[in-house]
Amino acid sequence: MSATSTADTGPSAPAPAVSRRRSVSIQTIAPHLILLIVLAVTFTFAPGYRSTTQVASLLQLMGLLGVVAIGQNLAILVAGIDLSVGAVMTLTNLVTALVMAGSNANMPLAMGLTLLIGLTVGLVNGVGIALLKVPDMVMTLATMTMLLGTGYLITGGVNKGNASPAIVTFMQARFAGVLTGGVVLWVILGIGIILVLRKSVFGMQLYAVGLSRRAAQASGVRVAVIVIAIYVISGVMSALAGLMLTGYIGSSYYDLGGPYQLKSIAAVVIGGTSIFGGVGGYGGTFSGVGTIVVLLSFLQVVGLSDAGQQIAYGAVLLLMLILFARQQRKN
Amino acid sequence: MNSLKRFARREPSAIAAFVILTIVAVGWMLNTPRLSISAIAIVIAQTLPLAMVACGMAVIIFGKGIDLSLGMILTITNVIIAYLSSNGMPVLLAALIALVVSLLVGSVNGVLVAYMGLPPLVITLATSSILAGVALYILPTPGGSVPRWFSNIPLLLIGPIPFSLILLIGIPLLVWYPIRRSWLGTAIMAVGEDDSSAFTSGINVRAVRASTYVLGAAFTSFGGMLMTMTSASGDPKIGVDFTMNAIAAAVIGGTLLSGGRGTIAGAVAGAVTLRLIGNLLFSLGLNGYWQYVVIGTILIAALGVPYLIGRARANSRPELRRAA
Amino acid sequence: MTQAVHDAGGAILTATGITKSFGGVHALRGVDLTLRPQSVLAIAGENGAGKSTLIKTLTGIYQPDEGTIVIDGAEQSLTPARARELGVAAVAQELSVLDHQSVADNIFLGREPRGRFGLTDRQRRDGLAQELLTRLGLGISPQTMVRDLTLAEKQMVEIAKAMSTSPRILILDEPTSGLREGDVETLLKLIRQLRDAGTSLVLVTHRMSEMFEVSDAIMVLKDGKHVGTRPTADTTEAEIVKLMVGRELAAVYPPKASDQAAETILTVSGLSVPGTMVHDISLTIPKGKLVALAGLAGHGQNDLLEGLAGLRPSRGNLTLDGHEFSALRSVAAGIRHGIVLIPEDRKSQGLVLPMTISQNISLPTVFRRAKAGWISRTAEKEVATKAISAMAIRPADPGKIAGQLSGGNQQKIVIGKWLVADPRVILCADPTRGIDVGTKQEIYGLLRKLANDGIGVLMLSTDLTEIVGLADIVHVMAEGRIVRTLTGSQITEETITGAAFQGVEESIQEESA
Repeated sequence: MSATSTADTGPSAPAPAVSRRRSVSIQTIAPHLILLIVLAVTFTFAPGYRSTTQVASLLQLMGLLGVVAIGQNLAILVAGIDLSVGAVMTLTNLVTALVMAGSNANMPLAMGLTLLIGLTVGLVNGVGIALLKVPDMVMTLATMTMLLGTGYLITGGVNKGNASPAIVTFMQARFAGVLTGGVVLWVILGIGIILVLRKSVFGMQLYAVGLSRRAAQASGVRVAVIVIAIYVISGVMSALAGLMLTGYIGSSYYDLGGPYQLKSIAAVVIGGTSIFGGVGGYGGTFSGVGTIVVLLSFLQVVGLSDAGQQIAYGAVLLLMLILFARQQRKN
Repeated sequence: MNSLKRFARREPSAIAAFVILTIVAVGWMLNTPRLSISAIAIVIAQTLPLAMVACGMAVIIFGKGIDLSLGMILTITNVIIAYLSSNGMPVLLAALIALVVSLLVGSVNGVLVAYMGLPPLVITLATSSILAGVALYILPTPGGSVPRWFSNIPLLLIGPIPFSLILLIGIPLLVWYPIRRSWLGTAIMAVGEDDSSAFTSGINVRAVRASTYVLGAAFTSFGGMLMTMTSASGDPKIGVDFTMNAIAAAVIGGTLLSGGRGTIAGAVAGAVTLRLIGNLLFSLGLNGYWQYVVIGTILIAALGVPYLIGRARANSRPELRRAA
Repeated sequence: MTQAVHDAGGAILTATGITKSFGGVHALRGVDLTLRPQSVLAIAGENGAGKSTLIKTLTGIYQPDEGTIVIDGAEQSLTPARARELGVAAVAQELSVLDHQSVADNIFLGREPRGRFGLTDRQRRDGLAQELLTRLGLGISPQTMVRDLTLAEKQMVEIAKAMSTSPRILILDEPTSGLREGDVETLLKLIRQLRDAGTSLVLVTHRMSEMFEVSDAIMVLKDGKHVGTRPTADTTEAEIVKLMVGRELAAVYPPKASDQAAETILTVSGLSVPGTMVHDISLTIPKGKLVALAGLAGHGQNDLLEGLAGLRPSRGNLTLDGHEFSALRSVAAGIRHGIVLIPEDRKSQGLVLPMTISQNISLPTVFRRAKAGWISRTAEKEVATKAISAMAIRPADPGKIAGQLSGGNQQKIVIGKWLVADPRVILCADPTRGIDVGTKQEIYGLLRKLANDGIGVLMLSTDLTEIVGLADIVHVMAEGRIVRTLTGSQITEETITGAAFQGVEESIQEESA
């Protein structure tokens, strides 16, 4: 993914710690505005949403998408992409349901496997992209394919297994009316990544890599390390989301994670992170996640079929790209 | 002969692709109990759709682009033909309509990428999703049908030669060869290699780039028609694997993802190679889903290994000589 | 040497008031240019004076922010295609040939002769290409892949490409850089031939001898402004230089070091940079002396610096202040050891342009001041403010985006950020290229001061005058090796150029031996 430009780059909205001034641009405000509009429309035309049950349900979905979007956000920030996130979720969902087999005894094993899957895929992706110079699209597409195949091989295409009660409780039990464990986890991780991006050395180096890989390299940033770290984080987040999914659904189904691939990209893009890298952050993505979940849920309630939803995902993403990317490219 | 030598010098990767194909083909033949002309004809017929999509993908990659919606363009072609045909429309007319729709999609992709400067990866992911939805809408479950004569086409034998083989070589030849030999072919490779040089040479980079997406859609649509012949029905999920496999086929065939290099012949060879590997795995008793793992590995290796070799060679030969 | 008679009639091309800026930095300010039919106009100016920008405006690659271009009596709005239609062809300084296409493909790119059914007529194309190549004295076949050509041959192919359009106006931007004497002569002869046959030419060059040998008029640009045009017959080198520089040369450079022997800061032995021409380089950087790499552009000087700094993989041994270690494997390692590089391309390597001045200054060393990986805002603010004032960066606002500063100030950020790293050795790749004269002075003074303070300075420059004015020791490079080392009074433009060309000749002889 690259844009050719023959002229100097102009100003854009940087985020890292050292700048005193954070330019507030359309890109920073727009995602939140969009979310507000979507919420307004939804609550007006679908009064059923005004119940705490509905809100809680929406939040649960946001938690799932939100965790996956963390990794995707990082990848896109360095002008890359991770197409394997959905497949990691699916595989983790299948494996953990199988291992937990409905009892708490195997939960530590399930969690360990989750971590293992995430780390392994992330490392493979990262090494392939950073060291073997395989383009990120192809690399993550390849791992995605391999993971889907592995998933089939492990389960034989049959849904097996059940989630442990503990994780089901974590994901489904509500407190404070609308919150669940999953949502809180998402918010904590989200805030964590915002802090890391804005205030840590890693974050600053990451933005530098996203804005100008060559200059970052020439300034002593270990680009390969940053890239590998990003894909490892993405892998782990996707795997975590897969585990959360197991708790949310209670068992496994084939390719539950599939839609998350496109949805995570859409959430990040709507959240204002530039598809060309270097600009944006998770703050906007919080709203991006909200927008996607609410919008799609609304469309479903309004009677849109499976087919219509697919069209909707694509159309929303397309629209956002058309609106945002032209401006981002000029920068 | 001379032009074949020139071809080899310019694109050694195509030769490599054919060598690999030969090796895999031999391996497959050794492992296939009942080898006959019609068995080969069937294999080629099965490969035709992928080969076409691989050609389409290759053309787009030549121009330094990418199109992840090709699999869905194939699907939509398949679905449109199956649906219209089973509702009474003459199948050739249905195919024409499907082709037109595909070209339209290609144009939309092309305009968004080339004229609006939007990133092809994510744009085509989005259009892919839209198409998937449309396909589901037209044909919510697999169904539809096509006339018997239509689905028999790939199985025809002209004398000892399978018609499918003629199609495999003929369609790319008829569609791509004239383009390659014209200003457009040179322009596409130039744009892929260095678009700013192409621009300063007066080439309309945007138009050329957009045209690759239309060409890619055209090839893919042919692939969709061939797929419909083979499956004799419609399936809204049929194209799911094609995108990934087409990229793998093109890469194995020597197409460089950075643009400007590669051949259609190589892409076809790559597609046949992949199909044979799939069949080989099957005859070795491995579950069909191993294919996914193997193809993914091959793709990564096809990119990583040449890179490593290139690095090793540069390291061991420190001198770049300037004088001729 | 005949000169075309100036005709009193209309000019073939007139540009008026051309202004162009990039991101707030003015490259051209109200430039006027007149090109008469059948004449050669030379454009002179220092690096960064705006010559290349002007050329790109005339060929339609850039659109001027203000000003008009009149060709054939009509105002034109140019794009490369339109310029071509009007008979304007140019050969840019940067090579734009496509490596993986043939010579003939490149020459006729976008204008292939058509044959049957609209397909490219390869035979005719190759034939026409062969004619051009012969005319240029090139003994290569049109079917050769450009990737297999030498740099000089590639440059000639570019010229052939421009000539294939039978232009009325031919613009050449530094066509002789990297060419050997023989090729240069062929080219100058060709320029004269073309002029006599009716073409008008614009020649951008920094070589005085060429200007005076071949042009009818010389136009001087300085800091983006047109400061004067003189008929070649009526002017002298000294006058042109004065217009270019605006002051006497001697005052520009700070005094050099004395000839005393000094202890060595850095010793490089057996350095090779794989994938480049750089092979088996050994040199030392003594304390207090400014060491420069010279020679024809693109003969490994930059690759050597990048290899030394760890930006490129390299092999060999370094000894810094007595500690020996193998060649650096990364820039981070370089920072650790105290060897830093001010890179050649300030915009894409030296700075992260969309980031602020403060962020750029912090980036290489932020980890040193960070606490457990978290950036300390106060520490960074302090570092940035100090660096901005020490380097006199304008505007002195740490929050300003680096991309909005002038070239000179951008370079100061680069230097400033590396000084924060507290280096032992500073490598500089063309540190004053594209910078206004005032800032150049500041940088010269700074480099000299750093050397005097005991920091090793190794630089490369494409500006021969600069090397002669600044360096205490000059290593002339050719084909990736050091062919001659000059010190003290040996350092003159002629000696350096002579050694460079000789080095190229010798290595060619080695090849054919």
